[in-house]
Amino acid sequence: MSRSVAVKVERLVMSFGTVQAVRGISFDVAPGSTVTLLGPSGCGKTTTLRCIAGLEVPTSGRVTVGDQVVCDPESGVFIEPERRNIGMVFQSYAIWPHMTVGGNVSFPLTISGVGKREAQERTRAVLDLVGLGELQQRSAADLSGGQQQRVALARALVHEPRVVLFDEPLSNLDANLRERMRSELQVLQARLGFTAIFVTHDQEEALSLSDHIVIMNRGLIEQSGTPQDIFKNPATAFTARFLGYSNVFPGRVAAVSNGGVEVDLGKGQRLAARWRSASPPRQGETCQLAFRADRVALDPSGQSAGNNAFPGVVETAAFLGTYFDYTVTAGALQVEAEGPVDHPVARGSQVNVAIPPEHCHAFAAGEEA
Amino acid sequence: MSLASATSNSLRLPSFLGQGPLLVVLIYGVLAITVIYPLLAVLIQSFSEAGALTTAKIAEVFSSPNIIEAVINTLIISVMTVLFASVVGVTLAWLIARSDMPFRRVFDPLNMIPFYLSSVVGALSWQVVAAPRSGLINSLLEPLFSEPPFNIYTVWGIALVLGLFYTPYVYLFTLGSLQSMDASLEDSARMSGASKFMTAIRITLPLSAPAILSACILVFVTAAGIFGVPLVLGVPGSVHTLSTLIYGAINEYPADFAKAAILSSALFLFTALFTVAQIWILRGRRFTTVTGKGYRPRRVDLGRWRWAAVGVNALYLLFVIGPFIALLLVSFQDAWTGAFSWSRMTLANYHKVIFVDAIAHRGLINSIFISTVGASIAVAICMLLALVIHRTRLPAREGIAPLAMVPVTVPGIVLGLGFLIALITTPLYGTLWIIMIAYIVHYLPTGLRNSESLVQSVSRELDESARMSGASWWRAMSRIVMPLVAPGMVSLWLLLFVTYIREVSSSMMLFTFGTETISIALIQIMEYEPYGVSGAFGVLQTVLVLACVAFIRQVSSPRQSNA
Repeated sequence: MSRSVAVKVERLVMSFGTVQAVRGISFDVAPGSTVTLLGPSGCGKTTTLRCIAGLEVPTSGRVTVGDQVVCDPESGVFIEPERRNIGMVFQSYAIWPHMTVGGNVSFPLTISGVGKREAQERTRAVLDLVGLGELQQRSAADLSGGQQQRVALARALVHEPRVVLFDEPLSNLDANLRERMRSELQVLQARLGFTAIFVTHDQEEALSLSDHIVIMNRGLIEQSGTPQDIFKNPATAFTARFLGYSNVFPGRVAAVSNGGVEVDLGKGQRLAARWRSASPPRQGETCQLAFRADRVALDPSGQSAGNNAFPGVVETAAFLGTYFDYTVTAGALQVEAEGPVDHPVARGSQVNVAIPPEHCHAFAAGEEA
Repeated sequence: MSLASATSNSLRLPSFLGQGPLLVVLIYGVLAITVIYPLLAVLIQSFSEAGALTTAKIAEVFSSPNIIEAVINTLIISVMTVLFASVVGVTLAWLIARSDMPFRRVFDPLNMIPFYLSSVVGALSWQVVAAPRSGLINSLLEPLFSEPPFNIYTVWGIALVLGLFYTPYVYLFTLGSLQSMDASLEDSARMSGASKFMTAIRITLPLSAPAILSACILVFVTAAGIFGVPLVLGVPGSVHTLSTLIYGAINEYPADFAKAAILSSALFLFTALFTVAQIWILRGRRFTTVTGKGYRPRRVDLGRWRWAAVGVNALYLLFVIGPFIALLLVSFQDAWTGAFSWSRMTLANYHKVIFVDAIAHRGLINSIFISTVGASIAVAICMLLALVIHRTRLPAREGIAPLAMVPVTVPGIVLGLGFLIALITTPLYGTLWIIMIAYIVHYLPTGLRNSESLVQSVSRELDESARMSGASWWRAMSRIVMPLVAPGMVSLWLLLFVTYIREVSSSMMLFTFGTETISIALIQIMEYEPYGVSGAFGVLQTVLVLACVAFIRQVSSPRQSNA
């Protein structure tokens, strides 16, 4: 087993009765890196995380942490969660209300038999690290959400685990605090060098926190890669939609050219696009076309309907502070578009809608419509 | 690093996975012996005579006319009790939870009083008030009617006392449902044009229907199997129920076990049928009326009817507390002639039950022993079961709760007979332990349901994070879950303690000379002592229990757990 893998998940399957929550997924996590399992609720991401933690016993598959196989039902291996040396921050933070802040944080040390004095010192150190040094004696029952989050983090880090798991750690915080915690987490991880696995349904959180993203859907991995790579090159219509591609239309492959396709969207509207699916495009097959709202250019002069452009009418215009959000009706399509605040386009205007072909992504019509 | 060494390193199975299946087998074994076997013993006894399988005895028993009469009496008493308890209980619950009736805060705890009291003491105090000749009201009113107008020694008298004592069950269930109901459901009825009373009838009550119905079935089953009240109020007027006949069959010489078993089987069939009916009626009828929103349902402005509402609630309390006050007066009289007299004031009755009467003394000591030790064992068992059910992945754990819930359908007297038949030849018979085990089994459903909701009230993530911190399963339970539910465990303990103190049905079958409980001592004292002495003993018992209840309300938040 290679030393360059902190966590290895192989062919993991988890069934609850007749329902398969996780359907045979595999991925590796490099030491010191941050991997995020991203997907909508019910996609199996939390189940996967709990299988790594040992809180769920998978139906089949193997989980390896460091060089230790912690779970392999086929050969009867199952290491109890308390013996995996993994830290975990829960969605609810799971702060024990009947203990002090210090009691919560030092619990893992007490359990593993660390001496009282040393435990005291390490607790103090890790509380200082998360900025709660002065709250050690405070009852854990009266902490704010942000403080609870920090206590949970301190408790997960205090016994210096090789891997720390985060189950939607920021979802219960308000927007400002969430942003601050996000950057603090990055600083902490850089200092302590632990391996982190996040679970979230928030694409922004995933993009900003991770070295590597695993997008999950219906118990399977939809796509995995670096944030930039995934965002620029979604491999499926599902990924595109999930990453905030607000324009996804069904269509038909009208022509196949070198590396690209022409997609017929009905009513004679055609757009040239890059083909992103693994299977080669076939002329006449149904497909999905996706592009982002910020890649749409609206030209109020209404002229120059050149390549990948068609005329439309602005139906709605909403001012959103840093940009305008438009809905444009163009033939059979309702296109979402964004425009600069300096050059607003009035509702009812005739516009020319243009999308560069390199920002149009076409996918074979899979099961995800 | 080779895979082989990693694998062998992790092959040491965790202790609870290794011993867990053994624990599950043990649980099923104990439940089979204590819950199922006594029931089977009763059923088998009904079909056998001198070792042979026969139905002859059954035919013989049911051809007797007084059995048919007892069945009819049992039915009338159960139905009337349910009607009384549900009408009064729902009305009071609605007034407390949904109206602007004055003194709501005072009435709410007072309405729960009968829940904690022994209904045998209740029957005794109603004797004092409404016995045909010596009753307080009768002696007051006799000059007007030329003969005593009230007779408590009838099916109606029994149903009245039972109705009063089981009203709190319906009250509690309905109150819980009304208090957790989403206010917007009612508001939208008002916005649709319904009046406030129309809203109460068409929206509020139907939404509470599942809760009310399950309380009604519980009351029906309990009333059908109840033993103490029919014994005290029925026997003087030759009004027999199935339960008093079962007791009679055991108490005659020689004891007719077959007859008792046949009547018990019939009674069990009766109560089981209704429980099955309840499960069938309530299937899928769990309205989700609870929302996370913190806003309270608005109260209905009763207007001029506010004081009528106060009158209704006060009348209920008068019916509950009034007879107790009469009993209190009687307990300080050296002889009872139907009226209170200052010249007859005495403490002799209390002196007698506390210092002289051996059986009163024994009953008190025995009950306190059984209830203290029994409640402790029961809480430990129920918590263990709840943790196994909700905090492990052990095989077959889902079957534990349904099995442990079986005693809900079994009247105490039937359970007592089952233990008697099953254990009469063992050394357990004639000890306090057999009574204690019967109590624990009889109220296992109450204990388990409360323990389950306690365990479920602790978020799983709290103990999962302990596991992730390196704690074993048992440590996570003992360091995290148990401390968090400790207040709830204390109030469950006290609830069971009070329940055991007032129980009479199963112990009536199982006691021998020397192992009388407090309620049995009361019944025996009533047989040969004047009202004053039994009154003093009843008052003593009531004070003891109410002191415990006051303690419950001190140590735990009110109404955290209920039957």
